[in-house]
Amino acid sequence: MEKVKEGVKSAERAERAFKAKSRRTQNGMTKWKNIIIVFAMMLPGLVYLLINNYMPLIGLSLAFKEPDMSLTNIFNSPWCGFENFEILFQSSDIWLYIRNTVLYNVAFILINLIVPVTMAILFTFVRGKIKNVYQTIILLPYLMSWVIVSYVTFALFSGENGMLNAIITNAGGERINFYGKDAIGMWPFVFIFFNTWKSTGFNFLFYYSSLLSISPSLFDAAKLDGANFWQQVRYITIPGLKTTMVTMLIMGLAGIFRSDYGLFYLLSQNSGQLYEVSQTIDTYIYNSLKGAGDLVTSSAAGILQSLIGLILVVSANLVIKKVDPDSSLF
Amino acid sequence: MKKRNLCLALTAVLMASSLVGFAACTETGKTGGTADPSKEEGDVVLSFLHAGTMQPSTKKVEAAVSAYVEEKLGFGVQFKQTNVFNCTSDYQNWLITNQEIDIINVFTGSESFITDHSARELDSLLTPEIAPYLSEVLPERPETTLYGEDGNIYGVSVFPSHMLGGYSYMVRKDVLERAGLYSETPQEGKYTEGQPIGYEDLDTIFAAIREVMPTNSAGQTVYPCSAMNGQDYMTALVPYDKLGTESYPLATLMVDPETGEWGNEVVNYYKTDAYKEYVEWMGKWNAAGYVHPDAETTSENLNDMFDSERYVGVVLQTSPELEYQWETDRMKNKEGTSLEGDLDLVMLPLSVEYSYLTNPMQSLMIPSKSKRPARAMQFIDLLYSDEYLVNLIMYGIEGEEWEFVDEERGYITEVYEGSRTNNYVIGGFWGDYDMLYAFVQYGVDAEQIIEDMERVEKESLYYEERTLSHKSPAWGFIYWADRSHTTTIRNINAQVMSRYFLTLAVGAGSKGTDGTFTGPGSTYEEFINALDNARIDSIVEDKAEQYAAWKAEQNS
Repeated sequence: MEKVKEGVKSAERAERAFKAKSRRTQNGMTKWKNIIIVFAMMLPGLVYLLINNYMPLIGLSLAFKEPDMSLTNIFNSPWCGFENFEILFQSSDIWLYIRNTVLYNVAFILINLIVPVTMAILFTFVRGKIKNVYQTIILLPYLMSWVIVSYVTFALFSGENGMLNAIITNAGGERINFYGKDAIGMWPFVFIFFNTWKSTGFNFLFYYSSLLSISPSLFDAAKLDGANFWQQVRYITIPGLKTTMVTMLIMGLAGIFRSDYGLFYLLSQNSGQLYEVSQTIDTYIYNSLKGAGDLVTSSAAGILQSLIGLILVVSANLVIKKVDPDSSLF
Repeated sequence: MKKRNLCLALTAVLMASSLVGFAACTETGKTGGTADPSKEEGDVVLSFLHAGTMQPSTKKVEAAVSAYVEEKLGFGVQFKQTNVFNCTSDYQNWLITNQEIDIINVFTGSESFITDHSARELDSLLTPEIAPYLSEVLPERPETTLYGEDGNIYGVSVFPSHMLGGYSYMVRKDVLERAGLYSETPQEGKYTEGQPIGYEDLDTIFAAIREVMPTNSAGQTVYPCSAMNGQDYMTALVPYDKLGTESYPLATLMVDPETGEWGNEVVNYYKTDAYKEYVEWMGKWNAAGYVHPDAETTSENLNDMFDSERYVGVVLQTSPELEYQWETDRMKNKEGTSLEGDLDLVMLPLSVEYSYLTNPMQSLMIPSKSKRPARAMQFIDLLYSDEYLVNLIMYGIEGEEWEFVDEERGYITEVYEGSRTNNYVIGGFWGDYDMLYAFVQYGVDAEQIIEDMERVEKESLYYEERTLSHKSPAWGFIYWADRSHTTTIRNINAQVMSRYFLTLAVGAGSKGTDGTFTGPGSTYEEFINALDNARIDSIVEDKAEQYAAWKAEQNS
């Protein structure tokens, strides 16, 4: 075991030395040329970010105002404190919705860490042209809209013509109302299953590309030192994927107060009997503002969700920084 | 070091751009037009809605409308196009960014356009000089106006805003005959056209249908009770005036379904005996298998259900015209069905017909930022009083896109290429029925159109006599919730109504896990408790107070 660790460390040292040497050999001009090219390539993305992510920040103040659209400038509307946040806290069930949102997200974060990493590792064993086919198949669910998925699940769970009910009744059993209280316990697993099924392909791409960036020489060195598959995974693959995993974890935490509207609203067909397990903060806000055309209440809800996301991201990064400074994002 | 400087520079640029944005916010001051059309300048800009695709002739129509209005009023008109599906957010964007717009055609959330001061009051513009037609008509007809909390008029409705109550169970005559329940003339134990029925009668009919027609020709189950997601009108058995614009009835005035007598008090709709009785019956019917097992969640279409004989009776508004339309439009393809001959329905009213007011579903409003409000009002007035203008704006240029088939009666048919029927304009439908006019049908001959129009006229008379004559005592009253009550209503909708309403409406909340009826039971109790916790009483009290004040004002 010690031999394997030693081998990996020496290979890493050699790689670092090579990179440092190649950096030193670059002259100043070439370096600047490269930077300019890189930034030129970044420019469209930066412009997009500026327009879509930074400029709207100006509108945050609206969440604390009572809008007066008769003013030439809506930002001069009078302040109203936290009145626009009231809808979020008036509901006596809000803790249930928060619980659902947070717990589902925790489950999604963990599962979306384990399953795609496992698949990425397994994928390294696939050889030949079939690899492309597998890759497409894995990504396909991600490209499918929740509307289509909701029809698929309805075809499975429908009380009248559902596949499961057909099996049950043909076997002599009683028809089950899967969208009713009888089957409420099943739904957390349904949500988790379909979320995993849909998002694995996309997350897999991140991990697989990170995996490809690990130098094959590390694996070769480990093999020479007698490392078995599990040892390679433990001492090379996982440490190699650590930064990506941390990034994905922090991104997941940022959205812990948000939920996929399509998943929870459409898959459950917004069945009232399932609200105990299907209602999240987003579906609650949607149900309360349906047709209201209310600009400020939805901004207020968005702010609250983002703020909690921000606090969690910063906290998680701080913890990670303490444990492993190299893996923290900032 | 260089990288660090670059990052700092980038951050500075981002911050500067944000500050530029904030700096742009320092301009202050309200805008608004004078109420004198002669002092205003420029063309009136009108929101022009379409259903996704713009007709190629729209520019031509815009020019023709502009020329006509120029001739009549001395200014032109410009269309500002938007899609009906996202017009509300477009309006908000136009107003926030101070774009030129003088008339908006508001579909949803019209109250929020008033409360956030997007729209201006119209009372000061409704003078005989500016709006000779509407200044006379609007004050007389509350169903044509959108009132604000302050009692001022903020919008002119596109359609009359009265709600027509009174629904019937329309059932296939051949099935009723097969069940031995139909009679041409009134007879004990049988049903005849137009005979009012109640829960017991429905129970008898449902059971008989189940017996004579358990499945359709394709072997699928036939459901006698048509209560279904989004298309459920069985609650018509518990008639009400909701005294406002909330999506669900919360605090209501009740009307007796048999006698038509109106209640005096504002009550919690769901605590009434009538509603409890409804829940009980629906629960029994659901447990008996009379209701579609996916009634709560299905996205199936009522028409398709009927055409495929999975429903043989549906609950529709009591209306001879609607009955006729169903008889002519439904089950056209009889192949593979048990229907022999033409479809014939029997209309069995579940409650008396009545009407009450709500705020308009669609109304024309003048934004508070309009630079020419008086001109806008002049244009709206012309739109509601000028037959030529309405037909031009709705159907296009006469002789190019449509032609009159009966000059005297003013019916229109489209005979040329292209349809303008996906344009959502505009107004005049509640106006003088003798003057307004338009009726478009595709590929139908003139005789058919005239026949259809005669039936429509008959239908209008029917409503005048039966439904509009039985008005709610609160006719003219619309409840306005303040900010805190609006929040309460939204919370009730999201937390309670979305959760329980449909479950109880289709009877799914009164069934035990073994499928048998368990009485209104726990779901109903849970629902009532949830409503209490969400403070429905505060809405009932507030509405009752406002209604009492309105009544006192009326009496004085």
